[in-house]
This record gives sequence, structure tokens and C-alpha cells, in this order.
Amino acid sequence: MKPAHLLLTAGLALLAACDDDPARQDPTPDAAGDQGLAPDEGPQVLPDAGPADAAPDAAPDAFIPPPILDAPLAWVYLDDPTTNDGMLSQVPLHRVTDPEGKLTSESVQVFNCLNEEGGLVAHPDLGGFTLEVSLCHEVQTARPDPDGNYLSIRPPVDALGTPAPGDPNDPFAEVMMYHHVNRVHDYFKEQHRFTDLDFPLPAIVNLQFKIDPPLPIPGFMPGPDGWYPFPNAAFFPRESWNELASSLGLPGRDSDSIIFGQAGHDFAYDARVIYHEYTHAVVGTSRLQVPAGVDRYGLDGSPRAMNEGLADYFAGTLANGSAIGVFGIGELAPDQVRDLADARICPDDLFDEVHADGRVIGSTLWAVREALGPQVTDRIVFRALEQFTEGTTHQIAAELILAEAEAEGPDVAAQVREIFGRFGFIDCERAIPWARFRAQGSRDGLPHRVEGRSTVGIPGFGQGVPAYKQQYVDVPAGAAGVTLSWQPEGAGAGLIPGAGAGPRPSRSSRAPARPSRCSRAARRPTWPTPATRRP
Amino acid sequence: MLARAALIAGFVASPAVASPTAARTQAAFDALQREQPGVRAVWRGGQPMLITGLRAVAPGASAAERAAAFIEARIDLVGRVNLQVEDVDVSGERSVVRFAQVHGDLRVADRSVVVTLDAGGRVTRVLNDAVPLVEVRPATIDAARARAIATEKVLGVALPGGVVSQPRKVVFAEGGYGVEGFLVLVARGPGQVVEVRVDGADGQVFGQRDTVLR
Repeated sequence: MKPAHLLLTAGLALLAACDDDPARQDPTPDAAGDQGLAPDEGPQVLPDAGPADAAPDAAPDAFIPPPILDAPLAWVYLDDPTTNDGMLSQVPLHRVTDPEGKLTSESVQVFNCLNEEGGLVAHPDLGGFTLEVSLCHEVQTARPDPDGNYLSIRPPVDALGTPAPGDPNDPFAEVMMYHHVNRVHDYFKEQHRFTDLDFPLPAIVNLQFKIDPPLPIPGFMPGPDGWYPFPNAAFFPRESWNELASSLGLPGRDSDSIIFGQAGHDFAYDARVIYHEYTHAVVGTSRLQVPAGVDRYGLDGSPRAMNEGLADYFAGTLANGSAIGVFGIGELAPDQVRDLADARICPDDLFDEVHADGRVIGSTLWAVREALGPQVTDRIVFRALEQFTEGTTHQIAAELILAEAEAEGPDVAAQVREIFGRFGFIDCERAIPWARFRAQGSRDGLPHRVEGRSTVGIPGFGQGVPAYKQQYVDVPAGAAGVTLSWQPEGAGAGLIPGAGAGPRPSRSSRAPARPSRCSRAARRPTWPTPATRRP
Repeated sequence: MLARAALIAGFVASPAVASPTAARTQAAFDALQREQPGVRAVWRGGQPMLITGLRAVAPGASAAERAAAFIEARIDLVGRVNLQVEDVDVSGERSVVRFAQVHGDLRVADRSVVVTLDAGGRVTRVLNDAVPLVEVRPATIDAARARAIATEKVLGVALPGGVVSQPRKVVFAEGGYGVEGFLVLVARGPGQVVEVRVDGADGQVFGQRDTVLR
């Protein structure tokens, strides 16, 4: 059954093609009191705990399409429900390009994946085992009010007016996504002249799926209604989405996309999670993709880690706040929220999990930002990023950012170099003292990752794979030998954005090592192909 | 077995400083530095991986032509690699030209050269992940077999080719040694698509990474 089970998980791809439902064109009109606000009147703040205003009935035979405003107003969380203490702010949205007022602009096309019939259904071939995978129904549900604004769309509440954040179909998620993707798109375009994403990037909110019969899947449990919550958000390269779709016999997409799950709380409510995933799209598929390189210390996982760390940095700088995932991650695992103001240093804080290790560049750049301000820091980081390759490492990234800093002036460069040195972002020696280590007690509860011959991704390791860092032992003079012991544990894939899954012991094979001789010489790098600077 | 041993040797042994290639590279860099004292480099394996502080004029009508001309003129510095323009990003006052390393008509995975030019068309930086290949073992399996191997490894069952995504034949390399192989995308689990690396010579899976970023 193992093959069938694995195939089953492949069948949960959630990824429906974009269809639309013309029946959903009856927006709830908002109270007349919201009309007439000009976009430049500044943000207004509203507590979110209250029932949506009663909708006055329109004349049955006199439907007039809402006007398409240049800057229609809407309520959003500027950050997220936690950071904003439940307060909504009124903002002008980008003009929609859809004549019916669906939330499509030149930068984003937002779909709500509804828990209802009508989504695509696949029947993966499991070798005689019949299974039905139902995807939520992708629809653009949000429509303007009769006055052209979107102010009637607010976070869902129950009959008593209590916030009901688990609504799997709420259009407020669409509005959040629309506003914040347009905002992050404009940031990259206006601040950095980045135009590669000048098209309506598909963005899907409220993602869930259903399988029949319901089966247990690691990390996923169906709710009472049979729908499986999806506790994550992700950037899907076009080829990956299409592979997933094709494996289910579903149509693909012609561009990259970003997806946001619904898991009792809504990942689309967290602006910084949106910015994070969007930044992955900016980095693209030709930069920072190599899982590991190899140098004199062993494996170097910094390219993919920097992909995550830069996504955090740009999310934080745009939001002008250092904590990433306060709501999106924090509702599930508060201790996994990534605060870039919390310094992470190479090599001490490397655990070989991309989000955790990404905190090295993330916190380093945040410190630079604190010293130089966002304008200069964002500029030198983005300009360096433009030159990154698939396998750019911490060392090379640091040198490129420094080169950009030098173009800003010697004082800027000196400050950047000092901070880089303090965080170990440059000239990091990935060797730490051997010490008792337990994954559960580590800083983020993470184990150290150990690659295998079939995962490392570098040819030529058929006989064995080095670790990501070295550990050294200071041996007293006269010692006859050193005994090392360890207990390997398995760990699953991360299900929370920015967090690897907690350690899940899968094997308990205490394996005392043969007594071996170690000396201080072990502290010196023993893996050749050195990276050294010459004048 | 010998070839695999050579592969390992290719990355664990940094080129001897006294080797003719390393000596030529060092001489080329010394010459460049005499011309432009502000030039700096980060070295890896006897080759400058990143060169900064440049202000090098190169002929050509476009950024890509100038970048290519610079590389051709400094072949001992960059290494004798086959490159193909992959992308040119012109943003305001500068251009970034991205070359992919190729071997015959195959892309070399994870290997590229990025050349940055200023508004005046002068080369200012070179980031070089490419390394000359001295030996590439040919594939003995085809794309369909590679896909079956990859899906069996990831899903536990061999599947035929996908409808949209076919395995991409490339060269995998470490150091100067390479092998033809395949990049295969395999859907696994909710929202997970794994890129599997299959050694085309011995049919072994040696790499798996999730292509969906969270």
C-alpha cells in the first residue's frame, strides 16, 4: 500500500485551474455612510469585531453595475490581526482591470478557493485503488459595492459579531491579497525598477482540499466538513505547478503563482507572509536554488537559506517591522515567528534548515538597515541580488553587497563590513566546538540535517556525504582517544512557513563510534577547494 | 568506479598552484591587477569566483556582446568554458548579463557566469560559477527511464512520463568532472514538487529538492 499512499499524497495537489463563476455577482452593498470618502483622506481605523452592515435591498429591476473607481476604498489589516490588535484600516485599492470589479489588476489576479462543489476533481491512477481528490473551487468572489468601493467586505464574524477567522470562503482574504500584492509589486517596481512581474500574478487564497475516502496524511487532518486545512503559504514556479497539475490530469497555468492556505486561520491575513512569498517570485528560479554547494568545511546550504532570508528581509523592510509571520506562523507555533531583530550568527545558529538558516542573512541585513536606514540598505541588497547565481553563497553574497555598499561611499561600506563580520555573514568558518546537542533543546527546536547520497544533489558522493559543518574537540595532552556517540533522528518537511517540522524520532539506533583520535588540528578546515580572498 | 573516484577527486583536490592552468590564471589576474589596481577577487579552487573593482572596456554593440568580449579576452581568468547568454537585465544605469555554462547542447546544472556592466558599457564585476570540464561521462539511460527511476525513488512506484513536464537532460558537474543526467520533477504530497537529479551514467538518484518555496 505504500505506493498507493504516496501516490495519494501526490493527488492532493489542490491546484485547480482558474475558472470563474458568473453566479457570484451579487455583492453585499455597504452602508451609505461609507460612500464619498476620498482616497487621500488618510487611513481610517475600524475594529474588526462587528457584524457587516445590513445591506439595503436594491431595486429588483434596476441593477446598475457599480462604477469602476480609480482608487476604490477597502478595509484591510495593514499588517495582520495580531500586530494591528484587530483594527482594520481603510486604504485605497489599485484600480481593477476587470469590468465587473473582480480583484484583478495589472499585477495580481486573486482567486478565492471555495469549499463547495464545482472545483476540479481528479481520480489519480493508484493501481486499482480508487480515490477522488476534490479541489476547492477557484472563483473571484469579491465585487464592489454599488458605489464602487469594497468597504462592505470585512473579516467574517458569527451571528453574535464575534470574529470567525476560520471561514474558508471569506472574500476579505481576497481583498487582503489584492491590496498587499499590489503594494509589494509597486515597491519592487518603483524602488528597484523590477519589471519581471508586470503581469497579473495568480494568487489563490483559502486553499483547502478534500479526498474521498478521507485518509490520514502526515501533517494534514480533515475537518468535520471533510475539507483538509492547508496550514501554509507557498510560491509555485510555473513548471512545478504544471507538473503537479499534469500528474492529476488537470490543466496547468502559464505563469508562476502564489498560494495561501486556510487552516482555521487565514494565511492571507498576514501581509508579511504575502510579501515573503512574493519575494520568492522576485528572486525567481535562476537565483539561490542550489540546495548545497561544497567547500572546505563540507556542505554549504546558504544559497537556499538566503532565498528564505531575503524573502524575510524584504517582507520586513516593506512592512517596516522585523517580525515575520506574527499571525500566519504565530497562530500555529508562536515560537517559530521569525524576528529579524533577533541576531542569528554563522556558524552558531546554522541548523541546515532553510528558514532557520535564512535568519543569518535576514538578521544581518536588519542590523544594516538599523544602521543605514531602509533606503540605502534595500538598494544595496537588491542590486546585489540581481547579480546572484543559482549557487551564490553567504561569502559571495556578502562580497557583492559590500561592493554595492562601496558605491554608496566608504562610510557605508565600513559599517556594512563591520556588521557582516559581527554576524559571521562574511568569512564564516563553519566549525563549532563539539558539544552535547539535543534537537528538542536547540534554539529553534531543530535538529542538524544530515544529507544522504540520494539527496545531496552534487555528483560524486557515492561513497559518502560530508556534513554541513565541522565540529572540533580539544583533546587534553596525553589522552589515549576520544569516543563520540550520537543518535540520529528523522525529521519531516516543514509545514509552517519558516519552520521546519519539529524533530520526529524515527529511528533509535544508538551508534557508538569507534574510538578515534582527534586533535586540535581537526579545527582546521579539512575540506579543500578553499575560498580565500587575495588582494 | 574509476570515473566516480575521479569525480570525487575533482572537488576534493584543489588545483595545485603550480599547475599550468592555475599558473595561467594567476598570471592573468596579476596582469589585470597591474592594469587596474582596484581589482579584487574571491578565489575558489585556484580560480577567481568573484572579481570586483573592475572598470574594463570591452568592444561590442550591446551589453551581451561586451560581456562576451571581456570573457573571450580574459579566457585564462574565467576559464575555457562554453557559455550561452541566458538573460540580459538592463535596469537604468547598468546591465547584468547572465550566461549559462553549456556542454555541447546541454546546460550544465548550477553553473553560470554573471557579468555586470556600468552605464558606460564597462565591465565592473564578474561572478563565475563555471568551471572547465575535462571529462563528461555520457548517459546510458533515456528520459523515460530517468523518470521511472525518479518516481520510484520519491513515490515508491515507477511512473511513465508526465503530460507537461518531461525530464530535462543536463550535465551535472563537480570540479572539472561531469556526467550527463536528468532533472525530473515529481509531484509529492500537498503542495510539494520535488526536483530529482538522476545520474544518467549509472541511473542513481543523487539529489532531491522541493521546488515549492514556503
